[in-house]
Parts: sequence; structure tokens; C-alpha cells
Amino acid sequence: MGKISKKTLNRVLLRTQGCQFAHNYERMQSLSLTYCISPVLEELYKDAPKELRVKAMQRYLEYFNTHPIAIPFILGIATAVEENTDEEHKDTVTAIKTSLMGPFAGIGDSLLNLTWFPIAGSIGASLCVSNGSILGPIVMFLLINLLYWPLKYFGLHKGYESGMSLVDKFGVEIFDRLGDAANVLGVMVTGGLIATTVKLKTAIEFSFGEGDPLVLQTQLDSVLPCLLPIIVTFICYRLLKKGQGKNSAQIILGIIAVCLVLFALNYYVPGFPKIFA
Amino acid sequence: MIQALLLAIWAGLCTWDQFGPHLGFRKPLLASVGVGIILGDMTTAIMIGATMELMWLGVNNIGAYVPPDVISGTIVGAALGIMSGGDSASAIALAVAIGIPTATLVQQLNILVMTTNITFLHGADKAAESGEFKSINKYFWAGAASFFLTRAVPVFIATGIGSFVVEDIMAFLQNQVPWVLSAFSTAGGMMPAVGLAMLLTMMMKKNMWIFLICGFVLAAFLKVPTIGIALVAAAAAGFYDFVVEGNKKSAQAAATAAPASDEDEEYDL
Repeated sequence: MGKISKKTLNRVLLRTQGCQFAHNYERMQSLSLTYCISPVLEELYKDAPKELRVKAMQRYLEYFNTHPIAIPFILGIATAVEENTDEEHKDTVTAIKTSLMGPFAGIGDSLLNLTWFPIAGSIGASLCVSNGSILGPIVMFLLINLLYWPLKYFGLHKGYESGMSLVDKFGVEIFDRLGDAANVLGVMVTGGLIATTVKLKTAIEFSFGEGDPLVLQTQLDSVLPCLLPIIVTFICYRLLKKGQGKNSAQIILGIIAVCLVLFALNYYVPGFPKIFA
Repeated sequence: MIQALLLAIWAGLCTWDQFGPHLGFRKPLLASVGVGIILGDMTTAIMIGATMELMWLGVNNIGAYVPPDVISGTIVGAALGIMSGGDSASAIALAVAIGIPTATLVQQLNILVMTTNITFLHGADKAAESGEFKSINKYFWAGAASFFLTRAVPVFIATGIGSFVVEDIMAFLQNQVPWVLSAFSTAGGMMPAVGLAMLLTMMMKKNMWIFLICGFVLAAFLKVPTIGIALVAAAAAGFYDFVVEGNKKSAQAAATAAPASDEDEEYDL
């Protein structure tokens, strides 16, 4: 296997580092994808007539959208298929490209965007949020890149070496299983992050004549630690469900407005209690 | 002005990371490192970056959805927070107050460029008819330049103008209306709830509440750090897969009442 040299593949790898630069609403990654694959096309179509070269480019200018980290792998497979099909069977390239983009977009979003990035970010941030240590960003950078670069590099080269056989061997079911596993991982970490990252404490105190006032937060903590963060997260969750996730900006502004009003009342209106610490 | 220019270039580079290699500089914590280097205050920059990282943890581009732009939000917020000359708590509160509207504004610019980039796509369509593979390159880079500018221009304007007035604004906030900064500080603490809730709307299905509670208990009661929870969660994910696949197999075996075919064995791979 392999008319295409490692060097050409590495040029593709370099170009896939800009795999969404020409992103647009009409055909998403198509133009960027054409730019990424063109070193391979140039080599395969070196002596081909103009009309075939036009067709080759048009194959990649079609609608395409998937997870960026999956692009090297998909292009690896596409390269292998390009090399092993004659001009009448080039539909296969498009078919494979199109059939892979959906599952990979799903798995990439749930495994990488929704799980790995938040995990890396929260671990990094927890190391430096209170002291500004450079260790935090370094750990985050390493967590991301020690996973992403092998995925990109070996994705492209293995994809090219084994072509479709790798996908055939594992089947499409593996995507569902990985997706479910990522879901479990993500939800569990999110459960932990609710407790560690959402910060909200009440400052309400009740004083009954003599003696120490009753501090509401201490009482709440003895019932359930992080009760207020849970409530806030739950309210946000309900609101987001209602607005189908498109109202996050309104919710953020709403939270700010509520805080501003409560703090202003506390500042200007005598006797108005301090609600939040 | 030179600082504003450098910040603008940094914002453009972080944007390219978002649309390209995904090295991580599109996230607040790593974007803030550049601000720290340019403005010479690494500690405050990282503290602001970490706060915003947690605040925007769940803000992610899923599919075609364009989220608020955390890059410009972080860079403008952190830069002006540092320039304001306040103590770190006030700087963080100011950064949050400036960062959120910036992010929402630039989100609109991003949607605009995603639309105008269609012109370059059509240009590339025409160019492709020449049969020259290199002919589409300039349209590709035109798209890239547009994305670069969507963040670089607002960051340049905001930090350029902001640097002259931000100290006065900070003094006014601290002396005249101190409640504004406390309100933003509290609101900033609540922000992660929005991001996490957003993650959950996309991940909560089937029996996922079981794992949500497990994760919460590990953190709130047992004080396990995030990396520990992630490891337990990885084990739970493996176990979940094991159980679900086991159920599938026994259901299949019961339904067909026949020995497993070759195809079924592939599940083990």
C-alpha cells in the first residue's frame, strides 16, 4: 500500500491544523477540506487532464462537517480510497467521506468537546484559580495535547494505511458504545464540578434577641453541602431545556441582573438584608 | 497602543486555534497566559483566566451552534482587569463584568463572518474550474483572515480605548458604587452553573442521573479532587459499557435462542 509518501501525508497533517479556517454556513468545512487534501490530489492527478482535476476538487468542495480532530483520520481513509479507485468509481470517496462525518461529529462532540475539554479545563483551573500559578495552564495544555496530537497524527497515517478496513473491523456500533461511555464519564465529572466550581453562599442571618445569630449558611451546610449551587444549576438546567439551549445569554444576563438588584438594594435601602455573600 | 496591537494579534491567533488545531488556546485559561505575557502580570492574568475558564466551562461549539466568544471575552476582560490597577478580587470582578458582554457581541460578529465566508466559497467554486489545485488557496486564506479579524478588531478597539479610561472607571466603581463589583463577583461565582447546566442538557439521558449523583457525592462529601473523580468516572464508564453490552447479548441470546453468530462476537473487540 502506499503511493503517497509520508512527507505528503505530513503536509496534509500540517494543513489540517487549519481545518475550519474557511468555515461558512453554506457548506461548512468544505473549502478548508479541499485545501487540506490538495497535496494528495496534486500528487495523484499530476498528469491527469484538466477536467479530472476539476472533478477531484469539486468532490471535496461538497458539503462537509465533522469534528476537527476526526478530519485527519477521515482524510487518511479518503486518500487510501482515492488511490485505489479508478475515475468511474470516485463516488465511493464521497460516499465514505459523507458516511463517516456524522458519526465522528457525534463522537467528537461528546468525547472531546463535552468531556475532555471541560475535564482538562477544570483540572487546570482548580490548580491556579486562587494563586495564579503557571502550573494550571501547563497542566491543561498537556492534558489536551497529549491526547489530541496522537489522535491527529496516528489518525491520518493509520487511516491511510488501513483504509476502510479499520472502520469495517470495529463497525459503527463502536461509536454508540464510546458515546455512551463518554456520557457516563462526562456526567459524573459534571456532578463533581457542580460541587467544586459553582460558588454561592447566602449571608442571611436571623437574630433572636440575645445570643449568637442563626447563620443560615451553616444550617444549609449541615443539611446538604453545596445546596445552593445545586439549586442554581437545576434552575439553569430547566430554563435551558425550556429554551432548547439557545437562551444561555439571557440566563447569564438574568443572573447578573438579579445580583445587581440585590446588592443595590442592600447598599441603598436601610434594613434590606444581605442575601448573598 | 502597542500592547493593544499585541493583544489583538494574540486574540486572532487564539481564534485560529479555535478554527484549527485545537491546542487549547481557544479556552480562557490558556488565552489568559498570552495576556499575562503581554501585560507583564502573569499571576493576575491566570487568576482571571481560571475564573473565566470555570465560568465558561460548558460553553462549547457543538455542531453548528456558535457560542459566546470566550476568546475575546477573556482577553478584553483580563487585559482591562489588569490595567485597572485594582486588587486581584476587584480585577477579577471587573474582568467578568467586561468579558460577558464582549463575548456576546463578538458571537454576533462570528455569525456574520460565517455568512460572509460563503462568498469565498463561491469564489473557490469558480476557481476550481481552472483545474489548478493552488487556485483555491487565496479563498481559504481570505476566510482565515476574516476569522482572525473578528476577534482582533474588537480586542484592539476595546483595549486601546479601555486603557485610557479603565483606571477612572475602576476608581469610580470602588469609591462610588462598590456594590456593582460585589454583585459581579457573586454573579461570576454562579456562572459555572450555566455552563454545567448546558453540558447536562446535552448529556442527561437514560439513567445518567445515577452518575450525576455519584460525581456530586465524591466531590461534596468525600472531597475527591477532579482528577480523582475523572478516574473513578472512567472506571464507571467501562463498567457501564460492560453491563449494557452484557444485557444486549443475553437479550439477543434469549430472543434468538441460538448460539451467538460470528457477528455478535465482534462486540468484544
